[in-house]
Amino acid sequence: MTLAEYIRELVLALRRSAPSAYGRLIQVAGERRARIGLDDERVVTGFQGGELVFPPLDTPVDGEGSTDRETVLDLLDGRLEVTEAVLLGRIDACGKSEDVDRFLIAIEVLLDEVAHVPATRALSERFRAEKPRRTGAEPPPALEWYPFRLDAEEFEMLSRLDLLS
Amino acid sequence: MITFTDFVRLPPPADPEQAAYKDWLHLNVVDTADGWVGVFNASLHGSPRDARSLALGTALIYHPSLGWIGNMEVTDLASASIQPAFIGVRRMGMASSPAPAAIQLSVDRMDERVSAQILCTAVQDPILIELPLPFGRGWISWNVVPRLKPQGELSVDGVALPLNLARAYHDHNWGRWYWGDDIGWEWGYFGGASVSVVFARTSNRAHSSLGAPWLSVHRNGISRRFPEPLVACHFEGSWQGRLRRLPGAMAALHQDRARPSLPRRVTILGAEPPDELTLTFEAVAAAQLIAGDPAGHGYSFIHQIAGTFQMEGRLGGESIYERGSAIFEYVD
Repeated sequence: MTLAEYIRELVLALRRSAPSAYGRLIQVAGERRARIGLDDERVVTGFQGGELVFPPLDTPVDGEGSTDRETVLDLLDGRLEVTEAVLLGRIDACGKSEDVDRFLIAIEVLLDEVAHVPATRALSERFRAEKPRRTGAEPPPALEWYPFRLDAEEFEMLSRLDLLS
Repeated sequence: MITFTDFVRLPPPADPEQAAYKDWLHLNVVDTADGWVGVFNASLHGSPRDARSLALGTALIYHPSLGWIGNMEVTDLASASIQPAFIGVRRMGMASSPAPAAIQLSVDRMDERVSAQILCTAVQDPILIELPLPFGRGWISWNVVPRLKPQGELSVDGVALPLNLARAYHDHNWGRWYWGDDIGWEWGYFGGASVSVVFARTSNRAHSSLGAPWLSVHRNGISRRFPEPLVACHFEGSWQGRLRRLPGAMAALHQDRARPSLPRRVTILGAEPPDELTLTFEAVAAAQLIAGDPAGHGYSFIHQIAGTFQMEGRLGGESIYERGSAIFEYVD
């Protein structure tokens, strides 16, 4: 299956089994367009008139998110936290703050239905079978919060705002 | 011969509470020499007549030099193999057999790393509680086999973990409750060379309201349960470390639960003269199993805390002192 087919099947499963969640997904996404990438595949997607659409790749987008199959599998296996994936650069999310927020909320709506929509579990198994790791499973590096050093100016600002205690 | 009659408690079609059905076969194998701890569950969640219902298989091992290894398999209840005393999913299954009392565990390359073919034979009499105990909006019941001797093969990455110094514990929980309700529990199994200790108490989600504690000690064929008012349990400190959280999709959804407050040290006291017991558990590592309710839409967080314990006291006129490996469960 292509990335577009995975996205379509996932959203259709939600529409069939959890119409209220599907309604929330449409409400959160609005008319926004997102470019989604997995490995070397890219699609542009969004909702139009309540239907999932895949406009041409050169369509202007409101946000962009990309990752690779190893990250997806590490997340599914609980080897990697989402915050770690973002901080390690294994998930990229770009766009204006509100657009990225809505993009992530849409993912939460989907995840929240995983426990209740059997078809999503079948998709997960299919993903494992069709997109095996290209490298061995390595444990993610231990991540300190944050992975980059804070400078004196930032400490001074946090202290001034009483945010260090 | 020790016998044990137990079975999966599938709800009948007319059961008005079947949406809240839960059935849970649980096995721990702990090693007193190298300190590894195995957590194995085969469980059913929701009505067998509801397509949303789930079957879960968990095979997780904490090894001091490898961390948490293994995974959880989540599948539709309809695709699980369910026999009178067996729950199986694609990569693992667990069964109880009545005479001699034993638990059979089979794991087939869970996470491509953990495999097992184990027969755990009871060396202490099972405890058949059976009574439905109030639990949130519903009830819970359980049977316990507090001490078993494992035999067979348990391997990680194809390397066998020796079972000659290992001990095992089994319980079976069933009832009607929804994950995410105002429920919780604290439970521990402490497995030493000659003694097993079992502690349990239910609670609300905040653990501010605690049920009556269960504390039993099992040694040389003798079981001793301390009366509820004579049991105490205290937590100290906060365990800090990286959790293994499963299933990963649920962990991604619940970022706010990535750093829960878990006890670093647990002290359990039981005293009814002339018997007395003081047990201290130290947390070493923890995993979080996230239980999403297929019908109730709530979530509960089952923390498996692996660690070590030491205990001392008097039992049946004998002084006892023992150390070993243990697992403590904290659910909220």
